[in-house]
Amino acid sequence: MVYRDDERLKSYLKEFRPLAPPPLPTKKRLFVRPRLVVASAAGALAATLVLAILFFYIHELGVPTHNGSPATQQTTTSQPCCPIVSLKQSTLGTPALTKLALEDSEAFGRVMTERLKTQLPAMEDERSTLRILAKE
Amino acid sequence: MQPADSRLTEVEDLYRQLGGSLLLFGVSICGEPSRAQDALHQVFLRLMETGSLSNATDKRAYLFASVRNTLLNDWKSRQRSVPIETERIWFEPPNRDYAAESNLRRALHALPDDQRQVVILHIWGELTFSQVAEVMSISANTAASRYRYAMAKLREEMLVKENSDGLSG
Repeated sequence: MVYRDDERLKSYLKEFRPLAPPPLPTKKRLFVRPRLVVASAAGALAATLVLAILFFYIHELGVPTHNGSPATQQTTTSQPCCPIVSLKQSTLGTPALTKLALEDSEAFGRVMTERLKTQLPAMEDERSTLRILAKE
Repeated sequence: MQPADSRLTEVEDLYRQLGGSLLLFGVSICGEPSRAQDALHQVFLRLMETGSLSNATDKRAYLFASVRNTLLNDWKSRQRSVPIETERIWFEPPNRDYAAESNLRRALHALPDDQRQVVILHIWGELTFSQVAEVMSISANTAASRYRYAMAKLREEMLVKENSDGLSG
């Protein structure tokens, strides 16, 4: 009889070993993974943003390229006096525009005209929105 | 701040060292080995993520308390108690004596929950009565007296079974 006193019973009970649990699900890279994912996502987002800005800058605002694309030619022909200035002007913020309006009203007028072309519907074209609406 | 690698190694070592007794303790609380195992994994994975173990003064007691709290929270959310599963073995018996294992498991089942938990924490968890008291949120004296009652009852249960086996054999 091994159960006589508490100490003997305790040492007898200790001979029974609790079953080991199954191995821990491996999450060793738990610290690394989120960082990598976040870094990759941030990198991808930054790259997408840069590409989107470049695309918008070149195609929508008519930025001249080094190889002399039609966009450049159009810009330079419509504004022969200062093509590069007009490019910068078209991306100017409100304070810069205000300054431009005060210093050079002609250049300011050109910038605003350019902006209107891209922001408002065309009125001169045969199939312009306003013409269609007027017919109806 | 402890480096992540050494923190992981420490947590894994503790899992290897205490996993069995923590699982046993978990089963004694919730009655279901699978749920106890989930709670155990939950605790250790959380430790790996947060590294909060480095703030614990008594890591062993902290782990047992974490498993207990996780299971009690789970129980609260389910609002129902589950009877202890009796079919599956809890221990690896000495000399592959599975009859003795069954006898011990049956005797442990017969104990009140709080006494069973104290016995498991003290014997297989190797916690002192102060540590048991910390885990169970009771006084060390209460832990010691519950242990004594539990041992008396265990002895009685195991002897009864042994005698009845002897008589029937």
